[in-house]
Amino acid sequence: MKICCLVKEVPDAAVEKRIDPETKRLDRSGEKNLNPFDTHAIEAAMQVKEGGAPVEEIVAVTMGPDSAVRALHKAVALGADRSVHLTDAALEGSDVAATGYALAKVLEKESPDLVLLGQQSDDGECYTIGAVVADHLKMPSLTQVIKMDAADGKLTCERQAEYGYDTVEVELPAVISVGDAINEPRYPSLKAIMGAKKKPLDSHGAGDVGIEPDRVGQSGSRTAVLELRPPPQKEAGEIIEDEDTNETVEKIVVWLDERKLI
Amino acid sequence: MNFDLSDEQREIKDTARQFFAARFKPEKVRDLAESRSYDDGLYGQMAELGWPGIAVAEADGGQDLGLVELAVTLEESGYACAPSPLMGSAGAALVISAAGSDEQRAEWLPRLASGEATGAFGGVSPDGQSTLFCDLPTADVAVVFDGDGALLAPASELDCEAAETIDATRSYATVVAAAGERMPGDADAGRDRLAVAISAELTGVGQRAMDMAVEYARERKQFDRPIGSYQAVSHRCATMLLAVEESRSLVYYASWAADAEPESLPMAAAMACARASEAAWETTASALQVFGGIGFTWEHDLQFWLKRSRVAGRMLGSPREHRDRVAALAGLGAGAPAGAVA
Repeated sequence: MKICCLVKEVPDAAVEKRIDPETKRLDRSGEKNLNPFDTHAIEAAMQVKEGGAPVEEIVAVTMGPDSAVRALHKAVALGADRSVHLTDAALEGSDVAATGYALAKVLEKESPDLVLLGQQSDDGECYTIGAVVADHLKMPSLTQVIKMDAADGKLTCERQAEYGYDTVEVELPAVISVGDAINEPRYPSLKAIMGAKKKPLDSHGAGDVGIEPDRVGQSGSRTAVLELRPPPQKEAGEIIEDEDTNETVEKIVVWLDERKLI
Repeated sequence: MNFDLSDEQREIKDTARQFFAARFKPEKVRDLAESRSYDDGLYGQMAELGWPGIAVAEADGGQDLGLVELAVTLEESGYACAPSPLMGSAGAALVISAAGSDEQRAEWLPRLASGEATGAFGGVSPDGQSTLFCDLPTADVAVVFDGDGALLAPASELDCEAAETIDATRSYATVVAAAGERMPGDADAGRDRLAVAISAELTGVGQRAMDMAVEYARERKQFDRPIGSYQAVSHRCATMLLAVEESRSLVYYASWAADAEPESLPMAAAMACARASEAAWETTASALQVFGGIGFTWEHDLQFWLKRSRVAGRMLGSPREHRDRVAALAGLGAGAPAGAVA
């Protein structure tokens, strides 16, 4: 089995995120890191491998500028066997649909049995890239998976839903977006960190994987950001003074009940 | 010339920051401090990641990295004020690596590097006065500086007494008399490397105190303004930054010198230890003032960093002794090398 993990370089959590008013895109200057949600996908792949499934290799795949190589190094330090970097000026400004298409073209070349990715990126927070990739690859897709067992060419997954949990069996190949409750990612050992740069890293341009130029980049994207506004200010909350605890509890219950929260 | 950390060194630092932030949250630090204990399971995880043996040679069972890599890890340990035997073990390993005989290295370094054994270090002056031994009561082996160099002794062979210091986040003890087998190598080089390691931890202590103070100064309002907008507070915070950055620069330089330019290490280590020990105290004490009354209470977490800075900052002598050593090495005075443990 070959597992591909989609990973992304995102601004570090400590960096205050801001939108560039001219490009209407996220300002990506400053410290960057591997998307923390993707570390759960790599850990899930490692656990499939260590759980006895016949995994030949785990490949980390990303699309991004030159600096994204650092995120790939982190991914291999966490356990991936090698990495693939899709990088091309033509890809700059791609929206989710265009990014999903481009990543699917790389994955077509890799022919994985399983594609894993985190539930969201820490910057765009679209939650949708897995579904877009799956659509292009004509593979089944599941989101918010928090438990996964691989056996006999199938995956049995438990996924979080609004109303509880679904248990779903899915034939491989498949694209699985894992929730952050699925595992606790391991920390890379010193040996793994020091050896990360020695693991194979393949770099592809858009043309190398057959990406059609008019389907990527800002001009190839199907969405456009027209205007940006700060979110509306929250209304002031209601403060219930605790003068008599029984009375206070009653007031809180009524408040919650009116809003159908209990 | 590149003055920045390499990608790998940054990754080691980031990993350590994440590990300590997740595993040694302030409530965990408080629990361990109140019980004056370490969490063996957590130290086992550090050992699995290779941290106790970072600067130990591969032939001795270590990771074969340098003092820079150890320094950035200990900086993060100090940032979390993590109660663990990492400093004692990594510190003892530094001295054994530099001064131990082949037999001493073979006996202890693989065990220290793997986390199977823990280490301690401290000193006994010629008149029999003991310094505080870092991590001794719980350690398996101790490095004892005795004025003529360094001895190596299984902890069970040392007549020691646990010391309840103000720093409840770490085990300390005093010993009745120096004992152990003489280490034949360069104990001074080992002690210099140890001084850099301690200074790295102190840098993290100062950084955390500053971060806590700055965050509080942004949030806490007086007369409808954040207290950080008042010069009395903002200047204090700026001075903290100056102290932490001076400390870090000297620590990184000394760490680099230990690996790349050993002839510069004695001066660099003395400078780093002089500034880091003073800077950590200045920063934590200054943070206490930013917090006002609440910072002084047992319930507030700042006390752990404040007390760690006070005790750790004197483990290899006072800042004045380190400055005297700098002067002596620069040919500016007749001061003897920093002496508490030598």
